[in-house]
Amino acid sequence: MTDLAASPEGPALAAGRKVLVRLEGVSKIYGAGATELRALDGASLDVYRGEFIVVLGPSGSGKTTLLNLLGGIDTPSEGRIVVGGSDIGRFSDGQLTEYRRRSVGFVFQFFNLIPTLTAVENVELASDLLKEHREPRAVLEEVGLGDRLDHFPSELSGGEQQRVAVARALVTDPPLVLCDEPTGNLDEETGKKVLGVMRELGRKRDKTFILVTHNSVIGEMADRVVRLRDGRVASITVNETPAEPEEINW
Amino acid sequence: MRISRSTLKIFRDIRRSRWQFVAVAVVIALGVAIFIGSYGSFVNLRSSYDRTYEELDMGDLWFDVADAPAAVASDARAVEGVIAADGRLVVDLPVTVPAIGEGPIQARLSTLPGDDRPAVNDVKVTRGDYFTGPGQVLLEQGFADFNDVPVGDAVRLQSTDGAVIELTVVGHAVSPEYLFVARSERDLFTPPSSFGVMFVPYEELAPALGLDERINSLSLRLDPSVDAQAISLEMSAFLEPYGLGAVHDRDTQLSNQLLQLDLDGFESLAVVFPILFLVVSSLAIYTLLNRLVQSQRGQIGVMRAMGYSRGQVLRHYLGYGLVIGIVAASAGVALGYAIATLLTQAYGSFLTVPFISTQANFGVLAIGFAAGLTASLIAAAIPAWLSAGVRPAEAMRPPAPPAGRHMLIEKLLPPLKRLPGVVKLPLRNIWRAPSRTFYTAFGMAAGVSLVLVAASFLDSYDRAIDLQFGRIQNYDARVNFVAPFPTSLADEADGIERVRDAESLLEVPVELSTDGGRHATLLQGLEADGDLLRVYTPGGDRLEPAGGLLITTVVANLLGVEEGDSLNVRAVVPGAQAVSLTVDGIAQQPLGDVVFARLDTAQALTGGQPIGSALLVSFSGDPTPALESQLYALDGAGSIDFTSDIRDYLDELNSLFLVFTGVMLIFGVALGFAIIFNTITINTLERQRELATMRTFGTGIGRLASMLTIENVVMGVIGVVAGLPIGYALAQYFAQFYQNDLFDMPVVIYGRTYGIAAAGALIVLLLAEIPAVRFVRRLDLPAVVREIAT
Repeated sequence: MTDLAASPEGPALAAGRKVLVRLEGVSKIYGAGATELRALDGASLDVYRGEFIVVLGPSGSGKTTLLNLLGGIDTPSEGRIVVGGSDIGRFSDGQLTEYRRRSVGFVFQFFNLIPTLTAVENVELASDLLKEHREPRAVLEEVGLGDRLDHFPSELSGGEQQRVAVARALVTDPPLVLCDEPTGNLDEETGKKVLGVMRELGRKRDKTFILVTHNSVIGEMADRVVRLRDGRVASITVNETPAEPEEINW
Repeated sequence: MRISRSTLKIFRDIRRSRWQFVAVAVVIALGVAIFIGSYGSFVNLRSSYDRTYEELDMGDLWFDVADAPAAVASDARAVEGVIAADGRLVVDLPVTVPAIGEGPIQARLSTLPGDDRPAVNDVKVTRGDYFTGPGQVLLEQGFADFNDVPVGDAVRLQSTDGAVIELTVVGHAVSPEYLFVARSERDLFTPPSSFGVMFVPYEELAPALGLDERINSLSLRLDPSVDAQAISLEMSAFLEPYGLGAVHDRDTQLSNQLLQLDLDGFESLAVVFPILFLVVSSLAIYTLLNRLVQSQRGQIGVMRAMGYSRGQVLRHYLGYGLVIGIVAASAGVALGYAIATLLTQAYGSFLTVPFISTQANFGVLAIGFAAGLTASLIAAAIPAWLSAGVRPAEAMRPPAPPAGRHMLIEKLLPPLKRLPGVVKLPLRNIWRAPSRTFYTAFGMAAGVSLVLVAASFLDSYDRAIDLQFGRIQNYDARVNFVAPFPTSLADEADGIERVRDAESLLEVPVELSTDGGRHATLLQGLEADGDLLRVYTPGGDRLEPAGGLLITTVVANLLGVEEGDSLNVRAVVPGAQAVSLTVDGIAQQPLGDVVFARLDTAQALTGGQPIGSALLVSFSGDPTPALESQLYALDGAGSIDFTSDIRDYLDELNSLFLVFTGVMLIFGVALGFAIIFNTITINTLERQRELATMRTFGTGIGRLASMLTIENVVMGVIGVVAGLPIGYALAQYFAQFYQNDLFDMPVVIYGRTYGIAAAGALIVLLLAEIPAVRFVRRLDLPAVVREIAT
């Protein structure tokens, strides 16, 4: 792992922390020639263990592309994504699968739960992949759904569904959790609850959360805010005193 | 034991869409059941015949001789490789069976030892006893049953000196030589009302015929390891001085040959028809799972994002095929086994096979199970492969909506643009989603064509019977004579009351030969300008023999000859010379293997005498005992075959074919129903989001139902239109399996059958709309919206 003191983005923040993922000039290009589209264009970023990053930007700025690349569900056209000394951009499909299985958890805007599995079974769908994992029921209790274990997604509210998705992302105990507009489909009150759960678990379990959103207010609770514009990292702001989710309003 | 959550997902997904999965499973189960039912019956029947032959010491070789001393059997036993030899008398004689009537019928009397069981061709006594004393006769069971002749009744025959011998029916018996009773190769459909097989003690019949210590038939059982052909040649040479006639081995023994023809057709149908079912079933599963994979793109993306490998996703979606396959194949095996047992018992008892094997044939069950499972897995393989290839990032994105565009027809006919939305929208949907249109049309076409294939058997049979008895056989009775008669007898018959017309027929066994091969058949000589036995071309035009021959399409194909070609024709009678005759035309002959010529041509082949061998008679009204007596009174009349009896007998003979076909038809209808139901239901399910959205806009159920119906009906009509010619083509293909030298049925599908199949398919389509519309009515709009991305 790289020493964070050398990180251009926040020596003060980085003190004593380690880089989890390093992006070096990463681009994602769709099409070619006249129809070429650079969804991400030379993005560089160090992601530290245990931090809470909020990625902001307008539609089409490359937020989701960045998340997909970090999560190993898409591969970069240019640049390197270094994790534990290896460039995951050069990983085979099998290696990427292993990376996603052990190192990444996903939370999506539309929850993406399996409708035919109950809350606990949705979480177990992820935990089945690893011999060593956290107890699914315990994780669901941790996100406040101890009494909704056997409910199907259609029997849960949007906020509850999203908390199931958070539990599913955390049950394999990955160091990195990627959230794509996790509050985009929730009302403010519910959204804050979900963010609260994420923030708390991030701190308690030293997880890195990268949260992509349109909603700039959510940036107030981040350790760092990364702003994207036209596929490029426009700015990185370090938040010395992040707000608690219940303190922010949108 | 805890099952993995991905496996649990399979079961839950199946439960969620249970009716589609049930429909598909039914389709596979039917395919497996048809295979096991029909092929299992085939195997059971074959082993039943084999067991019967084994238990009753069926012969391996038969030799007909004019007259030989009984001692030749002892000589035959001395030949190396001969296990047993039995000499006997086999004669066709008129006998009177009072239970049937006072007029004679023709009986084949076959002798058995009076004091012991024969060493070759034993009989199984099914009622009563074997001979216990003099003056007894055993009746072949089928004959006794058909005519209700009980044990204890009498049979009368005449000895050569004119004395009437009365025999008592001591029992009913089944013989391995007469499991299928036919008078001869040329006269296959002999109704038991005018022909029967009877077993008489040798000691009784030989003196009555003045043939003490003489035999005219020798049968042998051979050591299985010896060369039967060599022994046949050796024995033929040995018997030559005694007037050697026909020599048969088991392959050419008439009953066995007919059963074998039947079995061969059965075997082919038992394999090919289920394959058709399973192929169609596979396509139904493919459609279902392909759409499942499409609808679960988001879920696949999530699973891949979680760390499920391609292989795991592939196995997951193969799992659906595996579950369907196991459940459906198991059900199919159970159903098929039951069908096989029932069919075998029905067929066996109809043919009076005494030893029926209905043991489970594990090989057949295993093949059926494996075929069902394989069909499911193959069908699941492509969707599963596609699912594994879904890139997780792409799967996360909602699919781009299919391009909306104006229909070509709208461009060509601009007024169509002004159609109301309730019509225009569904029409555009058909255009917009070509794969859905294709699947729906395919489902309909598959359903319609399967029904047509099964129905074609019934229609073809009906047409063949209609052709044979409505057009070709224009006579009401055929009087067979024990010896050739002068054709002037026809005038005498003409004079009988109620007789409208009588014509002489001369039947001559002939051998036809060309450079391409030879074929033994029966030549029927028809009176010039006669109208009681007509010949038609396959196109339905009447044919009249000129100086040459009219041959059937079967014979034409066998010998590779066409109209205008020449054939060498030799009557199979001592001293006859071959003559060259021209083929005057090619005829369609549904039943039997015959060729036709003018009466004088036939007479020329046998020495030129003005003789006939049978009289064809037409009369007004139904056959009566009085008319029968008058016909029997014609000099030399041996037996009378009434056309109505033959027709009834044929229907009975074919009843099992018809039952089997009926079962196929029911299965075809069930399969068609399942496919159509499935297609329509999936069509609705996969669009629940679109339908929910329209309902949230305030579109009424009635309007949605109308739009769905218009869309499905248009797609259904496309499918039906495609299915009709496909069905006909498949029927043509399947016809080869039930056509042979003896049965040449034209392939026919009646217009009304097309109509019923098409209307039935559209009715099923409309019925399938009911659950679909109910589904739309019950759509839980918030739930659908909540699950929108899953």
